[in-house]
Amino acid sequence: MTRFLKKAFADIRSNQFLNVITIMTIALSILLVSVFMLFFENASRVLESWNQGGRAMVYLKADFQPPMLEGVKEQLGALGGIREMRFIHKSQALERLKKEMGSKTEFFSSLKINPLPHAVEITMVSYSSFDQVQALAERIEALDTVASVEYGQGWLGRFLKLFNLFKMTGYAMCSLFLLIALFITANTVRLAFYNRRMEVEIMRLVGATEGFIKTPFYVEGLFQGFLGGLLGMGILLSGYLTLSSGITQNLGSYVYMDIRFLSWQATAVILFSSTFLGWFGCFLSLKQILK
Amino acid sequence: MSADGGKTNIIRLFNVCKRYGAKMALDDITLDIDSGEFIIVSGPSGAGKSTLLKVLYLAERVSEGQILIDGMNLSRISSGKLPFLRRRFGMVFQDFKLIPNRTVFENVALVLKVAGEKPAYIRKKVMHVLRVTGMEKKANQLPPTLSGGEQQRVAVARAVVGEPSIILADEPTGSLDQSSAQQVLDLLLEYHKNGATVLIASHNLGLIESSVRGRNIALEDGKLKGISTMLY
Repeated sequence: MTRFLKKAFADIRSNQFLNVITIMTIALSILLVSVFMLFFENASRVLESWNQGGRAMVYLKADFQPPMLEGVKEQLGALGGIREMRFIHKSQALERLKKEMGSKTEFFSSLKINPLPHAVEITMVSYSSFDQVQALAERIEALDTVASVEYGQGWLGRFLKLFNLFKMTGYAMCSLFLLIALFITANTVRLAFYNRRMEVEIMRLVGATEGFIKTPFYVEGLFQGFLGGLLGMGILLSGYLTLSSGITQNLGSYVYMDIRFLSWQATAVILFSSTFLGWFGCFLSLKQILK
Repeated sequence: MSADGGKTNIIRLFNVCKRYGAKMALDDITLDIDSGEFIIVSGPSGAGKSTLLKVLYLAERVSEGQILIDGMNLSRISSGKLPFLRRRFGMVFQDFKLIPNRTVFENVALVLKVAGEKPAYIRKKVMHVLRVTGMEKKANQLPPTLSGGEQQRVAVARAVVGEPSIILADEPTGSLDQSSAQQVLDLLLEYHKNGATVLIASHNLGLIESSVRGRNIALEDGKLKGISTMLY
């Protein structure tokens, strides 16, 4: 193996320009992929945190009486998808509203009756799509004791749609860039192979096996992929450090933004993928050349 | 066993034909070569000399017929086993076929590296062969810095370093002056004396005939024209 490593590094040294171009291309592709991953990881975490408190308010009809609560809870529980239920009496709701309104509560003292409905605050089990939330809300609304359900349908729906659109664009862009990187890696190997075709021919004449001939190319591909990945991640990390410190300094007091770098699992997956990319480009190229 | 009963047939050809389109490069060649023989394959350009060597080391597959190398039928050799067959041959070419960006040492060592030999053995063996071929002092030079005769001596060193049982040389002296050609021929004779079977394809018999005891296989238009004995 040491022999193959030495050979691969000697070949890289003799084709420095080509190798640098390949490593840079892989690095750029990996950078793009990891930027998307960084965004998705952080956005998913934010969504998850919203989802943890994925609450909805089920407003009950005016004819609802507290003794009917057990029946309502049974009906809701039978629908599934609900983790917790908490009954909020309309007087309790009014008290909460008064507290939230602070000093502007004179209006409430003039009320003869409490206009607020009884409600059940529910916490849903985690949902993976907005459609599921919507479907559950529709099932709840169909119950005869329920007047309406409030679950932030307006802004959450729009956000999830935007998030999904961005996700699809991300997938498409990442696939495109990875394909470009694959194509360039394969071409680099092809050029390196043609550059050394006389050497390969002589190796064959003196009894070299295909494995002996191919291994240095594979090592080269793996090395290019790994270095490209490392470089891409390095650029991302330095960009992340610069931006996150800027955000903390400038926006920290206004907005709570918990932006974290990629998890070590995601980093490992990216590095493994870039290394695989280098190997796979080499594999495709050699398969075509040596068939 | 060969006709004289003393040696085994290391190479056997049965009705071998090689076609390139409509042209017959080898036409119905049947031939036995004994282990340890020195064979000259002669004939004018286009007679089929190089093709004969190529079908022996499987650079080309025959169109018809069978070839046995030490009992192995070449038509049954899979591509996976081909490298192991090639390690039984040492090959010398008119254009040397040395890797230009590798040193003399590395060019010769390649044969042992592909065979998976250990570095210490490779170093010892390669330096020994370079000493015998008179190239020891140029071990670290690149082939393009050497003269034609020196490059061919490196090629011979590469051909013999793996101690092959058969040495195939395609016009090994073709591009060399008289003195260099004699040196290369002497080296091949030296290894022949150590027991290797040597086949040299050459269109210039003058020098070889005066130095060698062996058989001359004459080809013309791909056909076997005659076999004669050279008694130096």
